[in-house]
Amino acid sequence: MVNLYRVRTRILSCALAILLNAGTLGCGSQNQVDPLSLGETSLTDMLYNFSLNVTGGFAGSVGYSASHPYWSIPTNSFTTFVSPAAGIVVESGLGSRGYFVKIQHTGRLATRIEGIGLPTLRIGDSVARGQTIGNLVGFSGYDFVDFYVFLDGVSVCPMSFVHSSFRSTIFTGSLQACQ
Amino acid sequence: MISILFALLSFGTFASSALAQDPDLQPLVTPKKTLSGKKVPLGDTPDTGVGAQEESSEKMAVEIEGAFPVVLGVKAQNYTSQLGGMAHFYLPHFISPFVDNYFSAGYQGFGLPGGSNITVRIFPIFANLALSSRLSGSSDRSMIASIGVGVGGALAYLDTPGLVAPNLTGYFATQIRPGFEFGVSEMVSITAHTPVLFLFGMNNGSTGRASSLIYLMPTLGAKVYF
Repeated sequence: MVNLYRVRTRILSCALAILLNAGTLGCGSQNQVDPLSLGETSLTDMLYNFSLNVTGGFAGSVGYSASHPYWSIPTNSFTTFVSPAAGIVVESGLGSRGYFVKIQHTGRLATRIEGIGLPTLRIGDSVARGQTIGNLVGFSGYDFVDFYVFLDGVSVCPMSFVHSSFRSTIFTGSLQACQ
Repeated sequence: MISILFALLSFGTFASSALAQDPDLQPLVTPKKTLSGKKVPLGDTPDTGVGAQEESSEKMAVEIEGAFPVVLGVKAQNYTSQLGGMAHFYLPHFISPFVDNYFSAGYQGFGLPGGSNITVRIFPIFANLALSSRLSGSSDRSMIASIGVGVGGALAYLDTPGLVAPNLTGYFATQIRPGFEFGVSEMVSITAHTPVLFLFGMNNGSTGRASSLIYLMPTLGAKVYF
């Protein structure tokens, strides 16, 4: 529920700030948010663009399939997880595998990372590509972090969006990254 | 025969003007009212050309519209349309009787494809000037065509469940607003417009490009003069 008093106060302060600064100005967050930026990047721009800061490869990972519509990445491979692309945080909370963050990159494309430690980002914050969004921690015995890619709200295989510099690290042996 | 008809026509014209000017006969002639509600002086005809409001320069009006914005261009794939609205406040003419001047404020919202609960909420504000022309009809049942240009700004934020307070971003905004006004009574009109709004920012966001948005916004509303 949005606090109406805070909304009114925020609108007045932002309007005054905009008048004084004469230009696009984000108000209210330590990370400037531009809601129209979701429309600036096309889906085509997102193809083969994701940064997956995987230092130890995807060995032992569980690939995407119809019954498992996400990648499960072992946490012992790296200690931090970064935002795969620029976007805006639209969801954050505690899931079954740990804390999760969902980032909207374009109007149609979003990613969700679940199994990280308490995130420092808030709903509404903007993130840059490669920006750290959380540290990987084990939670209730799990040692994987789940990585989702949503296109128009439907989970899809992340492979088409991963940048070429990271594709070689993806384990494609007997375990297919996408099935 | 033709001369008789001409004579009758001339007599009728003269008689009407004579009736209009004879003070003893004034009560027999009902003054006409224009669409704006002001009485037209006897002997004058309501305006029929450009600038239909030149006799109502001291009149104000309020117009409320419902709107259905649609994003134009390649960015349309990133947004879904939601109902919105606009309010317009017409002030007495100060530039010319042929030019309307009014302020606009409103709300438009756009969802994201895929059925998410995320909404981009936009609040534009404009100062507008418009030219209008009465197309047809009597003074009370007129159809007026108009085209206006507005400049101003807009505030926008991304609304998502769990958002505690909005992060507002400001943009420059302009609009081109063509449309029609259909007189229903002396004081009330039905309006229909198809404005195109342009929003653009100056700072490069996380994408490295300055944000912009263009959308068409068909509207239907009512206008009340007072």
